[in-house]
Amino acid sequence: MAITETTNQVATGPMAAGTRGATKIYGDGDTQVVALNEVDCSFAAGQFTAIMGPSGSGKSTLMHCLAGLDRLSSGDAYIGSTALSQLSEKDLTILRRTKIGFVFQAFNLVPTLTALENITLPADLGKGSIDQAYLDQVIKAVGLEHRLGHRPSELSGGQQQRVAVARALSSRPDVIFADEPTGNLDSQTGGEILDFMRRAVTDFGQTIVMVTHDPVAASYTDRALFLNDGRIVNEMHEPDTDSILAAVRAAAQS
Amino acid sequence: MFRLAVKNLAANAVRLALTALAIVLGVGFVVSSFVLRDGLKDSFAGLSEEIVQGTDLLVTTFDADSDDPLTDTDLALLNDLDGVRVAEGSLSGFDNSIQPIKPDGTTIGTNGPPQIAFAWTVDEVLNPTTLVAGRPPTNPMEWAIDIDAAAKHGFVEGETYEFVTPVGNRSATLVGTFRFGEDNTTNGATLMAFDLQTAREFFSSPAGEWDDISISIDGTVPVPELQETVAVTLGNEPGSTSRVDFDPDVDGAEIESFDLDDVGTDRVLVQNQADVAAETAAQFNAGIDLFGWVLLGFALISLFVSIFIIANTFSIVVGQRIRELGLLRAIGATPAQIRRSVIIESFLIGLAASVVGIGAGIGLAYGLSALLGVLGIPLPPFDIILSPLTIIVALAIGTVVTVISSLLPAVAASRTSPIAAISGSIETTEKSARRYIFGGIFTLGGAGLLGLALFVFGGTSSTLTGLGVGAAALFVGLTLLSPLAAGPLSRGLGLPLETALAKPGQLAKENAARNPRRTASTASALMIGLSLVSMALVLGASIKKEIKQTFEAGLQADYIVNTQAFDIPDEAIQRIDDDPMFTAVTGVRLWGVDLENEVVVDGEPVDGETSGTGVAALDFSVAEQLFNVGTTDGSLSAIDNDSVGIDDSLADRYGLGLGDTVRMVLDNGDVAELEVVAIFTEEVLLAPLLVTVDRYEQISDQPTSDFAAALKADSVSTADADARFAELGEDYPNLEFQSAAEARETFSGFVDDFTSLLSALLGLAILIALVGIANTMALSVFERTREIGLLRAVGMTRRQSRRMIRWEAAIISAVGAILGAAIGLGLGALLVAAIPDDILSTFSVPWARIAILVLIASVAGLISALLPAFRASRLNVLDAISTN
Ligand SMILES: Nc1ncnc2c1ncn2[C@@H]1O[C@H](COP(=O)(O)OP(=O)(O)O)[C@@H](O)[C@H]1O
Ligand SMILES: [Mg+2]
Repeated sequence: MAITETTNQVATGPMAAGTRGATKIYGDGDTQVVALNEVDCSFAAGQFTAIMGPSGSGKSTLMHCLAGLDRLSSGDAYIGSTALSQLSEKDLTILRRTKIGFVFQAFNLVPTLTALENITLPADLGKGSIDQAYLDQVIKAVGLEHRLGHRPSELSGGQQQRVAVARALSSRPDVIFADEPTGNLDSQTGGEILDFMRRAVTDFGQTIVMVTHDPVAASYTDRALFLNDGRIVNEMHEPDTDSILAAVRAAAQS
Repeated sequence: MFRLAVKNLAANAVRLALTALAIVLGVGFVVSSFVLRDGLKDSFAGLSEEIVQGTDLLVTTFDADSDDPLTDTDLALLNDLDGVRVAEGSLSGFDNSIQPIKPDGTTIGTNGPPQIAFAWTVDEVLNPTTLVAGRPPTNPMEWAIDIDAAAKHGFVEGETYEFVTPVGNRSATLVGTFRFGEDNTTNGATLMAFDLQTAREFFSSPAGEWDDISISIDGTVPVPELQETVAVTLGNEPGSTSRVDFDPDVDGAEIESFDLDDVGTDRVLVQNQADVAAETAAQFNAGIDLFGWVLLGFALISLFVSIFIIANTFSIVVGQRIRELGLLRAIGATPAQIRRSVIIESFLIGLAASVVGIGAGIGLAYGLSALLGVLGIPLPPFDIILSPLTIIVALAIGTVVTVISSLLPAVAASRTSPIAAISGSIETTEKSARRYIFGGIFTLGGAGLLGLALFVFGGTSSTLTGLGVGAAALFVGLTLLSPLAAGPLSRGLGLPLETALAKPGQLAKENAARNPRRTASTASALMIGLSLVSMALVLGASIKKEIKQTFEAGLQADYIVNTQAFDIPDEAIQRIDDDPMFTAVTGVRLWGVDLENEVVVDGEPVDGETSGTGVAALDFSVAEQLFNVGTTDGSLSAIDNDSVGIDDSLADRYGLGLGDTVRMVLDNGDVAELEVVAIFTEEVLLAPLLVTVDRYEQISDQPTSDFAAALKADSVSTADADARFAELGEDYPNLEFQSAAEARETFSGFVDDFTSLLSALLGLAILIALVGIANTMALSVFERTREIGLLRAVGMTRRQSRRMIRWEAAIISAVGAILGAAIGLGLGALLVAAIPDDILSTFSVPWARIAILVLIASVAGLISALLPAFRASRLNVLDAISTN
């Protein structure tokens, strides 16, 4: 696929997701907003990537379009070698169910289902079978063994996010997208979640793309992309908190 | 607060449109009942006036069966009076008693407008009809028909037609067609005029006697003076001219109060044109009013049901606005102001919906009239009359109902704490003990009142009021209690779905069960509607079982002749009798009679109504071959002109045994003393008192039987007898010649027709209930935008999301339907128990029908959620994710 030619790709493995000339325009005429402007990017399998940038820079839009939740105005997004623009609404849904995992900032869980049912929800929605051994491993790793029968309203915010991460992992997706997964948590609970995501990448070889504006969160990742005004303006490998802060300031001035 | 209310309305226009729909339908039904009633009254008022066009004074006797009838002598006296231009006697038959056989071999039938036969009036002024073609029927065996009926049924001038009449089949030649009034406004009735001699024969009217006398004046004597003269000439006391002023707006019930007691010794009633028209109109109006009241009753049920729908919607909407209400409270709005804003909002919705409902009601009037036509009750043509009263009632009732519905939600809204602005908790699932206490009180009180009304109250109006108020309280109570059942029931019903539909099925189940109170409130309207329908089904099934038992236990006859017109001429029965294939046959005449016996309890006379009782007359020489009446004492064959047979419950009532005397009031006022010679238990003859035909003729001049029964000879095969019996019936297309089994089916069919009619009239209430379900589902989808978005994000397909919503609605509907069916069974049992045993003693539950009803209601609920489900599947997935 042509996508492998993308400039800012780092080849730690085959490409799990990416975009090519991704442009997203909201509205038209005077009120037109270019949320993404010809973005080319690529996310290697088994890598933990942070997407950073100031508010309104296009982070969420990029993630939504990558994850098949929204469609680009032009260009294309890929999951593996599949071009999302070619897929029907139904195929896109099945792709989300089987190839993609999600962790949102809040309201991740269906209130009428138990923790376990929430975790297995994507598999249950399809006819797909569950890798029980892997599921047990994930549940153990997030430390939810004793909370599986509880409903979301009976879980703390941190526990809820752990269930969400477990759900995202449970179907062994090609890539997990997380939008500010720790945005609503205190720093300690947030740290636990990030630790866990880190381990999912390291131990299980999971691919994770995480939108965040928190340099501490980004420091858990392998690579950080910086967005501004709908363009990728910087990229950093093995980032640490200080270098990120510097890059954020630089990006804000560019 | 007013401005706020208006703003809220504008903001929630779409959501509220569905709420308004429930009111529109309910108000529409009320309006249509008024519109139909007024329209029919108007069209019959015109008819009443045209009937008496040309008649200045009408002379009648007080009692049609009087033994002092109007005669040729009276007629001659009147024609000699100054001021009388001409007086002419007239004769008319009972409606539908004379039935012409159409060219296609059938009769017109008795379901629709009546067939009215009369003698041709010779004087052109007095005659309300005008000849259009041919000549008047003035020679024997001639007749004429109104032009529309001629065209509709294919009667052609010059042809000879056969008639089924009370005296047997007769032929007459059609010599002319006429119109009634200016435009032949017969309201669909068939008018038939016969020459005098033929009319006398058909109506069994003795020569020289008249039913009434019409007078046309010459204007030389003032009408009131002539009226007095006519009355005195015919034997009334001077000054006692019986003039009764009829107000056409007064219910027809008024007419019944007008009887011999009020008029003393007067022989005749002399009415002027206006009074006759008013009386005729009042008679029509009595029927129309009854019809209007029945429709209004069903309309009120629909409105009652919509109260639950609207209240439910308001409370959901208030719940969804909790943040906004909290904010208002936080910035200083008082609870009273919040309450007012909700009530003003409901007032405006109610008013707007009522205006639309008035329009809908006009459409619905046509719809109802078409529906009744389909159900075999065609209405005559009518004009749409929207009276100011209808408009006022519609606006008032729609607005008041809506405001009442909003009261509880308004109070709930006013209790919102300012902190809700921040916490924004939408789902209030607190269990309130108070709700269930009130629910219990209402349920018990309502059931108690129903019991009192059914078993204790005497009068019609107190019984009806008790039933209405009791049922309303019961339904309110049960609705308050129903959340207790809604949760477990939803889970139970959802279980198979979970297996069949996997995740969407489970989610549908969980969603239906997550808020039992909402599920229960949403289902309540359907519960009420279905409980009434299943009550009707239970009643119908019980009656059918009773019919079956009566036939099996009481009928030994192989064949039955019956008719919806209740007129079987002796000639038809004679034909069966003459046929060697049948060994025994009798017609059964039915009538009502007053007894003078005292009511007896434990051998002691007590005060009690000694009102009329049913009486049957038949041929007792064969009665015991044809019917098994369960004789306990004496024998039917012993009944002669000086004796009677009586039912055991009647015997108990009057403390009578064999040899005791029944004092029966005859038509001429005499009292016949008849010895009890038989006591029986089964009312297979449909009357508790049995007399000979000769006796019967002293209490009724009905020359025909209401039904007849026959037994085939043993030597004849069933097939041969069946064929022969059907052949005998060919000459009487208005009568049904059936085997006993067929006759039973026919009777059961009447019961089914009746339950269908009830169900159809309850249909609108059920439709409103379904609108309510659609409404709740739409609100729930709105409320769960994020949740549905999340499900879609993690891989739920659009199809699955539609399925999830639709099946949630199906579960909610099934909850309502099952609860309703259960309540209906209870109510049906209560009703059957309340009906005296000699009328209905069996109880039967039509399980299959009720199961089908529940199934249909659930599927209808599923269908009602198609739109909300579609909206759910089209939700923007990103809405779930965008944090706010
Ligand atoms: N649905 C939308 N309609 C119009 N403009 C939008 C919409 N969503 C996002 N935008 C605009 O697109 C730009 C990028 O938004 P977003 O991707 O949410 O940024 P970020 O997540 O980095 O804060 C912003 O200017 C935002 O206002
Ligand atoms: Mg964002």
